[in-house]
Amino acid sequence: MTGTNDSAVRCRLRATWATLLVLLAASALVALVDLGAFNLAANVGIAVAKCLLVGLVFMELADAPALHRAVAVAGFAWLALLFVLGAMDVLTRTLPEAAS
Amino acid sequence: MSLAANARGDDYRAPGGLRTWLTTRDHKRIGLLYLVSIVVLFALGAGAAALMRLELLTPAGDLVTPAVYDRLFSLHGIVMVWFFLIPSIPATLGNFLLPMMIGAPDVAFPRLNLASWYLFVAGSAFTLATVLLGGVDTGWTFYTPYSTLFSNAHVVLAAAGVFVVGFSSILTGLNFVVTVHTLRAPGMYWRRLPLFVWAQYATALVMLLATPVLAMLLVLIVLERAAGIGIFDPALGGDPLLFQHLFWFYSHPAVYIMLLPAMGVVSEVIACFARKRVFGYRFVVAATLAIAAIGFLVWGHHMFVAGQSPWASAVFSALSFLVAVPSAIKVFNWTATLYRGRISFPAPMLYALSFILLFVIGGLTGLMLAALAVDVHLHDTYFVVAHFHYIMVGGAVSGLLAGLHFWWPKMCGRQYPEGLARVAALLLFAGFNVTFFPQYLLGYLGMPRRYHSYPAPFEGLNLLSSLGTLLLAAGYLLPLGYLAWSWWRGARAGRDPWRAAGLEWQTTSPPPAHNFASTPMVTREAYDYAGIDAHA
Amino acid sequence: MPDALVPSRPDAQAAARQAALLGMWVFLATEVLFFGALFAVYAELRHAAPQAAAAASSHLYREVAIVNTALLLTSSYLVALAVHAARAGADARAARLLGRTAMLGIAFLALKGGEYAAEYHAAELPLPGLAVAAPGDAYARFVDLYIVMTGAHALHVAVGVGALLAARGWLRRGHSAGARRVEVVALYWHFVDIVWVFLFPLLYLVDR
Repeated sequence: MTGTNDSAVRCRLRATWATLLVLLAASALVALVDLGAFNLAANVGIAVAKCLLVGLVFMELADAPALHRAVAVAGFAWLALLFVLGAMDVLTRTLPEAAS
Repeated sequence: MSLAANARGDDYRAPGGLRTWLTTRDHKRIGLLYLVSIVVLFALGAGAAALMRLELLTPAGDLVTPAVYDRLFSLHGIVMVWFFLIPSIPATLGNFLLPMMIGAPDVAFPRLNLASWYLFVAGSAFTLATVLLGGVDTGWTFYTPYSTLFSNAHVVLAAAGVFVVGFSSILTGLNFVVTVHTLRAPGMYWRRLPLFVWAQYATALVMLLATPVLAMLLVLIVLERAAGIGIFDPALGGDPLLFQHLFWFYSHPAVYIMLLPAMGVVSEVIACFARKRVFGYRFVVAATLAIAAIGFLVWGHHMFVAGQSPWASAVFSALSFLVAVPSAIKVFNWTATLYRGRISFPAPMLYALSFILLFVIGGLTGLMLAALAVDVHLHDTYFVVAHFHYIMVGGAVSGLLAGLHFWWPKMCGRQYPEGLARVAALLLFAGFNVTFFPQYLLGYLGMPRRYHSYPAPFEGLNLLSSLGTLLLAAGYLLPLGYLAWSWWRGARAGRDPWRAAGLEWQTTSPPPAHNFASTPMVTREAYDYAGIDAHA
Repeated sequence: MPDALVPSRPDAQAAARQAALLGMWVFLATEVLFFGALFAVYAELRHAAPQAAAAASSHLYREVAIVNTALLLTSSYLVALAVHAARAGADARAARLLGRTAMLGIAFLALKGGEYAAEYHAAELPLPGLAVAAPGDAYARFVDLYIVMTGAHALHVAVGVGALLAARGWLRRGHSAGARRVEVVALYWHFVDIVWVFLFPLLYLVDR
């Protein structure tokens, strides 16, 4: 491994870390402002961004074998099935609380 | 490890204490450990079923109290589903054969493999403790709020057992997936994988993606009962239907954990005894993966009458019909494989053929139940009981017995007695139908599940069903007897008694410690029976 | 060569590494669904009782959670550096980094434990075992879910700390598979970090 490569990798890791902390600050700040439903969207959006950074850079999915990426995606894809098909019932059912 | 040490034969048949078995990392020994374990658990579950059928001989509840009856069907369900059917083929035949079929010396993580068996034993111990302390009465489904708030039985213990055994199946699945991806012999391309391996692979995916949800659900039940954590408590606004969604997210795909491996066995057996390559190999592979995937989209059909939104029910009903397509593809492909084959009928083939027949009946009645309007009438009746027993006993158990007989000479180096085995196969087929077909009729007439007594007009069919269990019992006890006998006394089988394709037949019977004297090179597709017979 | 069929040693190492990494990825996919079940319960609760969720969330210690998030994100960075060092053969440096990662994990657990203790003593929340009058039933359910979700996560952090320290030990003893094991443990640790990245806003920042 060459020296430049070594420092390039470390630089990339450090930049990612810094970005993650900036995102953390962003989510803390967004919580101070009332954006209605967009607060939830911002919260989840920032979390997804952090997750992608950790996954792609720290866990090296960006240059991992396609198989590893497929496995990582499969976990979330199947979770999405649970959410989508479950929501199909929950969202179209009349809830007792909503009725009252 | 030198090649000479690898080639030493008859390893696990050599005298060696219990310790060599309990510390083994050999996938073949672990497969056999699992085999013995699931037979013990099967006996427990079958015993409970026998008592239930005995109670149902007469309309009156005269043998056991309703509370005991509840515990019997709960025990039967929990044991048969989680401690027998789920591990049945993957953990026994899968463990034994999968590495050999792809030309590998073992699974990818042999220590995890042994750990998985120990988890199975630990889970079984919980279940046994549950029985000894008085049982559990929630049914195998642990539905809230009954399981969390009202049941006075040992729910925590039973749930803990299922939780633990869940991890044993996760570890098995993990091992299979990594093994198939990383340890295939040179030339063993994906398009050359035996269909049994494809089936194990698809099953492993389902185990991995579904079981964790069940595990978390069981944690929540235990916490709700033991620590007052009220996640599903309706008094706190908790939603019991949410529990059912999460439960069936695992438990419907679990049906395919039980069924897919049996389908893999049937493909191998049919090809061998029709002396033909499997018709439409690629379609069978695609159907296998499709069943595994679509199996995740249909769980809501268990909740049609539970209060689920009718919109969701309609969609789940439509999606459920979809599973029939790949299932039918498989049946057509097996039939087409038989067409113009040179068919012989040894015991494995008889079991495989009864699989096809019983699976078709179970599958078609499944379509009836997937139809929203029909299900409202048939839900929670014996029709459902008959349907899933056709799939799980007629399907999965027939598949297990087909595979067990087919590979028995490989597993122990000795042949089972063919005549007796054919008698047993026919007995099982007859006994199964006599036991369970009347239950379709009972259910259609409106007899509900899970009651220890019933109105007098149902007596005749119930009597028939109960008498059928005698044949069924004979069909189980015979193989138990002669297979055990043949382990020690059977005629020597040789390397390849069926002249079958597949790498597992190229090594000695029983295989040496690391399966092959040298890593095999694969140069042919699976099921090249024309090639094999041309050389004979 | 008569031994041609036995894979040569470097090849065997590479194959073992591939298998180990794939094994961990597959395991993490199962973990996604393990925690995913809880997130599904959470989503249903948020949908059914948004106000109660917000009210309960406002009683949690948000500042502590922000610090804890920073700790875990930083620990992920350190363990990524450790993987990089271990691959380059800088075992001593890698071991040091793993030690620091584990320290951050322990600090996280200490703060989380402090949070639980403070919540229990303040008796503001209807924690199990506390007879606190909750403003509503869904409120109590949110708190219960908070306990389960953070508890399951804390358990994973604790296991991760153990794994980090074990990996540090393998490196120090010059274990031949040391570098590979560091990679595998690091993947697990990153996953634990990711779970928290979602838990933090969903549990602590509802009240908006």
